[in-house]
Amino acid sequence: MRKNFNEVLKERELREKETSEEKEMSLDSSERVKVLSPGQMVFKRFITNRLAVVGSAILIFMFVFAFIAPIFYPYGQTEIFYKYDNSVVDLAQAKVRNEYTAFYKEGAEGVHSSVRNKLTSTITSIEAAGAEEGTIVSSEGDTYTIEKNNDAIYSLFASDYKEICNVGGTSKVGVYDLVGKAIKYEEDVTEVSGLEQKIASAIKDKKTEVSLGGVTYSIKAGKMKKYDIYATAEGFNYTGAKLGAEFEALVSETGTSGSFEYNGKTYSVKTDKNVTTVSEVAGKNFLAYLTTYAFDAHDESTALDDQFKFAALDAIVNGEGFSVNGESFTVSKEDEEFVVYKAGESEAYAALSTLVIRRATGEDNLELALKEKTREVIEEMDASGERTAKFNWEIAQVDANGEYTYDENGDLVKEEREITITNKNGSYTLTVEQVVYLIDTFARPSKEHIVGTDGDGMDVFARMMYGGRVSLLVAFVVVILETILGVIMGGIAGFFGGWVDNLIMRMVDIFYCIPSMPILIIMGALFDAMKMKPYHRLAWLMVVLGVLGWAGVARLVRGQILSLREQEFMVAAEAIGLRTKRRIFTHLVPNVMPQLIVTATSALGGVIITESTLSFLGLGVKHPLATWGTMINSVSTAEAMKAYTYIWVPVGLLICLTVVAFNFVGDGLRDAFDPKMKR
Amino acid sequence: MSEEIKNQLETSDVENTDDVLVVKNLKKYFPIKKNIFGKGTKFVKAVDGVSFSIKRGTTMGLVGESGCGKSTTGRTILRLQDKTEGEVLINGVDIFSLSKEELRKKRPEIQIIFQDPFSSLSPRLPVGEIIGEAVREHGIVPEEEFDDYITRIMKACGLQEYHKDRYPHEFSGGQRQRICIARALALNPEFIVCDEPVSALDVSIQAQIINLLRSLQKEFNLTYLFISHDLSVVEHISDTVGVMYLGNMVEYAETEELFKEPLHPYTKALFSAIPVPDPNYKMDRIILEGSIPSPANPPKGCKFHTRCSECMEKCKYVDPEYREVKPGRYCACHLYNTDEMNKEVDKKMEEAKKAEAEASK
Repeated sequence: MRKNFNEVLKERELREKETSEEKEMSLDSSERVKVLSPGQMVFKRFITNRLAVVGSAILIFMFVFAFIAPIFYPYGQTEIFYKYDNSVVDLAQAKVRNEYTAFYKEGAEGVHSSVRNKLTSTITSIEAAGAEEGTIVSSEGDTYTIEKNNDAIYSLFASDYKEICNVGGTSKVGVYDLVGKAIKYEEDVTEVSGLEQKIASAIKDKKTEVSLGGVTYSIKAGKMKKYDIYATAEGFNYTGAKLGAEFEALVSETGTSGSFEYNGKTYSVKTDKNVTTVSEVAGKNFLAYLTTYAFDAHDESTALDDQFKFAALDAIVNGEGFSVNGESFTVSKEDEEFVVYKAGESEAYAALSTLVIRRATGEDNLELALKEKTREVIEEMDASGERTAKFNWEIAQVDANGEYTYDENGDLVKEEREITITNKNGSYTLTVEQVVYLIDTFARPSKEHIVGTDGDGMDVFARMMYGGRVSLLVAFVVVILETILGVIMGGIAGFFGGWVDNLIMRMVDIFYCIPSMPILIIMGALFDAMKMKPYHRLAWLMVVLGVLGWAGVARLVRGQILSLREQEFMVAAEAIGLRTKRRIFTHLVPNVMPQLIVTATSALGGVIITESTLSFLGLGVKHPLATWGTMINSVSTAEAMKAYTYIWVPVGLLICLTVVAFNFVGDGLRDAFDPKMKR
Repeated sequence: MSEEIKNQLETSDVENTDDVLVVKNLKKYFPIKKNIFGKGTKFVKAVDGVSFSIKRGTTMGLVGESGCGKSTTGRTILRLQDKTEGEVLINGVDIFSLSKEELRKKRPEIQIIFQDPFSSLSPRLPVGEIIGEAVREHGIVPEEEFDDYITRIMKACGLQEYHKDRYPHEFSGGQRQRICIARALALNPEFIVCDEPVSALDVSIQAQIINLLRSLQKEFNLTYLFISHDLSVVEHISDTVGVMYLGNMVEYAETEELFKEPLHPYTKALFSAIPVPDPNYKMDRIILEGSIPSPANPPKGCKFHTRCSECMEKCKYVDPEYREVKPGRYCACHLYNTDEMNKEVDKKMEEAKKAEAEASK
């Protein structure tokens, strides 16, 4: 074998050392020219690029802001903040009652609705006329009388009737059964004596009509040897003495129902089942008290029943005491209202007043003392003509959850508050300032919340940090994913060429054809339908974005490798007998790297934009996970954008800065990687 | 000093087979038209039957016009591209019979220096790595001597040690070509194809590189195939010279003899174009008419007959035989036919004429 070069050269070196000890100094020796390593060179070029340095500084800030700062920030991304607020709350409503309510005598039936509806209007008209009484005629022809007792109590009477006669008309009497030889009478129809024999003989004689007592009965054959019997009254059928033609004319003038006067007496006409009955109004029957008074029990827990109320009203009208359920009460008039005392007790048991005071919720559980105080104040107001008045009162307090607070003895915690009464067209509203515990939504920037809170009462600054985490994470994962996929696919296509290249490039074409937005929108809807957890959703979003994005990288890598593969240095690499693997990784990949880094860095910005867009459209990362996109989305309406600039401006700035910074760094890297760049 | 080394090398050579490289009837066709099955139907005959051999420690020059197939020959010899036909023996081993892995292991023995020093160096690798990576890959020297070895090689090629960490773009063309030479040399090759190694360089650098190659050859007993279109360079460096025209070897001889007395009309025309550094010298140039015919559609008969100043009728119909016309001198031209051969050629010509006449009918 030949001698190795190495040995030959070594010998020569030795010989040279012997001959010349002097060291030569050449112009570009390392002692004169500082030689930087390739990494140092790239770094040096990078840091001399001002924009790139600015970009890196922004990015470092963003990373610290998103990944480290939240550790030291006291609030979490989904922490909801509350606030105490003094807000004016409607406590109660007071109103002078002018609706009349009926309290019935024991055992009395309620009146017909047509009467009930007319009660208040009738009383109003009585008051207007200055009369003492009035009448109401029901749709059925019954006459009711109302009499005044005092300003607020009226008595309702029903009329007593004495039947005078009935007039004409055909009605079914009953069914005659030929087998039993008896009439089965209809309800409400009184038996007519001797009718059965008459009908039996009429059927024998095959007659269809019989007359008995001035009434004509017609017989109609039915099924199963049964006969329907109809009665037809003829003319005026008086129960007593006849009253003559003038009376009969008045009856027919009145029609089927109503009342008329004749000969100093009142008569009422009623029609029931084709039979018109004329009755004389003989007297009146007490039914109920009508009143505008409202009953307030002194003790809130006492429920006053109708029996008590009727008895109380009765006592007021008759000026006596009363007893209900074995307990006796007395009534006395104080100022404008009546107060009921239990016998032997000095404290009021209940009070009657035309001024009704109810809670704003409609419940009648305000304490009587407050009601009385309110009445007092309202009287003063009415007297002085003022529209508002104020007084202090102890009000039960509510806690954070809107429930009443109790002290250790189980008593309600009360605090003195100022109650305001406002008169508004005769209805009085009681308002009070109360401490309310609220979710602190859309709080303006303050010491506690540097950029305020959002619509859910979460700290915007904390969400900006956590949102940055998600945005940066998505960007990096997606870009790394698509770069790996793209480099592998593009590398294979470019290096091996032929049908492999063709196949992969057609795949790339297909991926280019896929409209990514519709797919992402459909996916978002699908995830919504599947009710996916926010973090799973995030992971899937990253995978899908990565898979949709690799085609561009693959194309770039393939193009780069195709051109590099034809370069002479690749032939040289083959000529010096390098393995395929080494040829790819030390000759091809480093030459693709710069472009790859530049596109990847620029793509990072793009992915952040895409992610924000998707989140903004509600298709990406979901609430309560914060991302910059969802944060802007939460104030996306025109009004909200105007009102809550302190939310979307900082977030928008963050997005903008990050994307710009990524682009700066990408450009800086491209310039730094290019060894021919002189700058 | 170098004489000593040469002697040492020669004495250390146990089996001193004379021919390092033997090329037999090498053909390389490039398809330019393909049918639907992807098979070539029309070809560029870049190398159309070339045969030669190179003795150890000598340099063979390969000259010819641009596009005559010199570089293709060089690359096909190294199997950087596949042959169409023929045989290439390196130290008696047919390079095309080797498997891929065997070929890879064989690579260090046969190296190439490329024409363009700018594109043949990987721009992202430092010089030390460019020179050294294959050394490491093939285990040319033990790992602990690696750095020193690269330094020595670089010094031998006129590069400084501190150039190791620099990148190719920081060097001038001449320095880059030295890097290429160092890369080839570092693998301890026996045979180097120099594919126009100096054509991209200016004249002063050319001389440096040529002298470097020559000194290295003397020192390491290298064998070169020196491809060039520059005749004076070839004359300077080569022991033997082959002249190519349109994919064929038309003449081959020892350099001195060839330059003294060229036989083939093409060689004559080519050599008449060498400038002589004497203003009073009246150049007697043979001007070739037209340009080189397309290798995709070469002329019938002698490929050179369209431009030959001494063209005969038979040249148009019969391809001349490439043979040893004088001892050590090979040529493919009807001018040097023996009478016997002429008779045969005439016969063939008549036949070809007949065939042509029939075809035109």
